[in-house]
Order: sequence, then C-alpha cells, then structure tokens
Amino acid sequence: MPSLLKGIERFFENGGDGQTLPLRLSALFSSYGYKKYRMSRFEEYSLYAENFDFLAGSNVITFGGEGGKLLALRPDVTLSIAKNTKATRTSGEKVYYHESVYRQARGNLGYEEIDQMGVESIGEVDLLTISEQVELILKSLSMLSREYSLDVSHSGLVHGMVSQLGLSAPAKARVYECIKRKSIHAFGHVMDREGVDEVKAAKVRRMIELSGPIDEVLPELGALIMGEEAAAAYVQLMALSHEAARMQGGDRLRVDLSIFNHLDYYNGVIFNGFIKEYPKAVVVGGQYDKLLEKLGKDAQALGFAINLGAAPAIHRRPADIVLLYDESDSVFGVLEQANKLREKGKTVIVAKSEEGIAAAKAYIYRDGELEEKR
Amino acid sequence: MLNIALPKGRLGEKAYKLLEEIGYRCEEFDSGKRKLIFTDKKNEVSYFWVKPSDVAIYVERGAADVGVVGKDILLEQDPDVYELEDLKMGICRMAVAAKKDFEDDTDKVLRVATKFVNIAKRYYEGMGRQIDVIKLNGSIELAPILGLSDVIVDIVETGSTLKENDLEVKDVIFPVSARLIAGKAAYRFKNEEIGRLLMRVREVLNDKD
Repeated sequence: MPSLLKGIERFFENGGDGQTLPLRLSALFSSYGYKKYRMSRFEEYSLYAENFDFLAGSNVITFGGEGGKLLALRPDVTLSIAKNTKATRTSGEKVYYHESVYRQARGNLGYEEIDQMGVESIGEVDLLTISEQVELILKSLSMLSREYSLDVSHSGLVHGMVSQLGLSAPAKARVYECIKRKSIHAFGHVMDREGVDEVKAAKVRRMIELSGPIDEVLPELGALIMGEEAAAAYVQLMALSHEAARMQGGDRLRVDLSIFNHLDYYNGVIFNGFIKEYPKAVVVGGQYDKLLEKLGKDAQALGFAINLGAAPAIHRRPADIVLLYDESDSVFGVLEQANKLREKGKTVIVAKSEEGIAAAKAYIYRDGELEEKR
Repeated sequence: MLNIALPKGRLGEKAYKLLEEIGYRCEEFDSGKRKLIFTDKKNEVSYFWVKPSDVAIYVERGAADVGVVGKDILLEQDPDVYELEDLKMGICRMAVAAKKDFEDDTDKVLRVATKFVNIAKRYYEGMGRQIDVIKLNGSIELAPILGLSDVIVDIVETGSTLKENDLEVKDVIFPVSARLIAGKAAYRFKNEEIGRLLMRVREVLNDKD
C-alpha cells in the first residue's frame, strides 16, 4: 500500500496527465482557506452591458431568456462574484472557482470556451493579502511549467506618472496605448505633438522601457517617480518586493509597467503570469476596488484567473521507463516486472518498440530479468 | 536562438538587410528560394519567410519571437504583441481614394471597397458615416472604375497606380511604415536577446537620422 501511495504522490508531483491540475490547484487554494464558489453558466446581460470595459472588449454571447430577459453565457467570473458578494471591509470573503467562460473569438472566428480557475479575496486588501496571492500565483505557475515568471505592475503608478504629463483625455488614451504596446517611438510622437516637458516625458519613456527582475527594476523605477499617487504605489511595490524575496519562486517576480487593466475598475497591483510554453499570459489579475464601488459594495478586492487551456500541452512529460518486450515473452513476467518498477514510484510504459514514446530510460525484458537498453 | 518572422517580398528583403547589418546574418538566406526557414546556428538566428499579413499571427502565437510587419496590418488585426520600433521602411499611406470626379453624397450610404475592413469601419464610424463595406482581396482600384464602390480604402505608395486608373487620394487616414514587433512571452523569456536586437536596431536608425 505505501508503494501505491508513493506512486499516486509521484503522479501528482509530475502533473499527472493534465487532468489532475485542477485538483492540485483546488487543494492549494483550499489549503489557504479559499472556499469553492459555484455559479450558473448564465447571467443577465445587463451586468456586462453596464460594465463592458471590465471585459476588455470581449464580445458577449447572448440569447433570449424567460419573460423577454436578455441572458448571456458568462464571459467572466469576477463580475458575477463581485455582484453577489456580501463581503464588507470588516467581514471578508475568500473564494476560488473552476468554471468555463464563453467569448467570441477574435477576428470573428466563432466562439471559444475557456477553462478557467481563479481566486478572489474580497474585504480588506493589505500587504498580506497581496503577498498571499503572489505566493499562490507562483505556486500555481510552478505546477504549469518549470520556466515561468510573474510580472507585476501597479495601476496607481502608471496612472500617477501619466497624470504628471498634463495631457488631454484623447492624448492620455494614446499614451496608455503606447505603454501597453511598449511603443517608445509612438510615445515620442505624442510628447512632441503635445509639447510635454522633456524631463517628465523622459521619465515616463524610461518607465515604459523597464522590464526585468523586481529587485533590479525597482531601484531604477524609484528614481523616475513623479507625484504622490505614483509614490504611494511605488512604496507598495517595494514592500511586496521585500516580502517576495523570501518566497519560494520569489526570484521569478518581474516588474513590467506595460501590463495594466482598465483604470475605471482596477486601482492597485496588477499580475500577469507567463510560462515559456505559452505565448500569452496564463495568469491575469489585480486589485479591482473600483468595480466593487461601481456595484455599490463597501469592500476592496484582489484576484487572479488561470487559463487552464494553456495546460494540456505542458503536461506531456516523458514517462520514466519504457519496458520493451516481444511476443515470445511471458505476459505474466512482463507485467510483473513493470509492476515492480511502478511500486518504486516509476511511470512505466510497456511496448514492443520505442517508436513514438518519450521515456527517460528503456529496459528490455529477457527471461524474467530487465536489461537496460544502451 | 532568436526566431524572426519576415514578410515575403521587398519589405522583408529590406528588413533582412537591416538585421544582417547589425549581426543577424544568415549564411543560407535567399529570398528567391522556395525554402521558408533559414537558420544560422553561429549567429543564433532563424528566419521564417511568411505572407505579410501572417507575420503578426506568427509572433502573437509564439511561433516567432519577433517579426517585421506594416502598421496597416497591426491596425487591421490588432494583435496582442509589443510594437517595439518604427523601422522607417516600407513607407506609404492608408488613404481613401475615388474617381477624380467623385462627389460625396452624404445623403446616401457610402460604398467602400477595401482589404482593410476594420480600418475602414473605424474610420467612418469616427465620422458618424454609414457605410457598406465591400471586402476585396486584390485589385481594389478596379472597384470604383466598374461602379462596384464609391471609394476605396487602401495603401498608397507613390500614387501612380491611382493616377493610371484616373483615381486620386481624397483623404489620408494614417501614415504607414514597418514595425518591429515582439511576442509577449518571448519578451519575458528571451528578454536579453530581444533587448540586444532592439538596441542595435535603434543605433542603426539613429545613425541614419
């Protein structure tokens, strides 16, 4: 029995076959006291119509419901949780979910169903709440890939810095687009056109360029800070950096100010998690107090979502051993040898040839014994 | 190894020359060949020779780390990539053109022939103008001549094709030039390589200025 448990343990440690990832993430979130949150697949469309910008332009799939109500297939989980939460600043709520969200694919290429897991912490958001979620994201990312990074940014820092440029609303919108795209050249054109003070423009320009490990980027970023709003945000990032330095995987924390979400909803720290095997962010999140304020709630909120659709390709890890046999071998003998290896916690594939099988080692079955193939 | 997607054609050849100049030479690179991938292990670079409108997709989806693409394609497709530099090559304009004697009747729905459906829609939406978009894939200039459309929205380089067909530019929507783009994950995991490439590109561009 202990060997079977060891095998199960190892199966989970290796990411299993990809299907186990949600279980492992559920166990992780539960161990931090987050409660599972379930919800209906449908929501009244008005919720999304009123908060369209929160969905970053995603098209919602709608259909007619009972009594002429317009319903939508849920394109986002956070909005539903935020709408229904009873949490207040003094009485918080920590939940996690595993749900599908539905969106129209970009370029009118049909619809997509996205398998998503995430956590939301609603109540009071302090340094501990932020550090805890950073720790959870780092642990989650380490389950997805060996090569991962977590980028952090801060809405207050970006907003505060851009405010110092004294721009009109349309020019400000163009600057935010330049920051998102890391387009220094386009930023330069806006600055020239608007006649912005060169020193201030140079500081924001450098802010756009900065991207790297948090302990390397923050000292340089500190020298660029302008205004009280950006300074307060910077202090929060410094405190987070201090805490992250002691976390497992804390060296994967980066700062990149190109990641920011809609400023009407997000106000604090922002997360984007990346893994080498996937071209876009697999984790997105941040602090969204302003959304709760819009929904008439007296609470702060922080959360993140993981795109599990990025996971299957990652979990095709090689087996430990391929055990080769031929038709003349004893079936009982081959199975017995394979099971002996499995009892040692190895993953074993029994096959006639190695073709198409990814395994760390190959053994040949010969008269009841195993011989390592060179 | 840095994977670079280049657009087939003149722009791709120009972009390769720039990259070759700054140390990303690929011994076997030849745009005339049918081969689509060229690798130079010594210079740690791999080039993919792809259709211009596909460059951004290769980069966005992580098949290439960086790429060279026209601003017209970026504005049409709006890919989720970083637009790191204006390479100041492949310079032209996105313009509205029509027959020389065309007079806009604002009382009617304007028929617009174009390859750039999203750009045309955004442009006329901004003016509050109702349009009928006619999506074409080539020989756009033919549409107003045959009465298929009132105007076209298309790339204009020298304007000679328009002139030969008795058409003229009625409005310039935005200037177009080639951009160096990078994938978001690549920007993180190949940050040093992409940073080095960008620095060298900027040095050459500054020298040319």
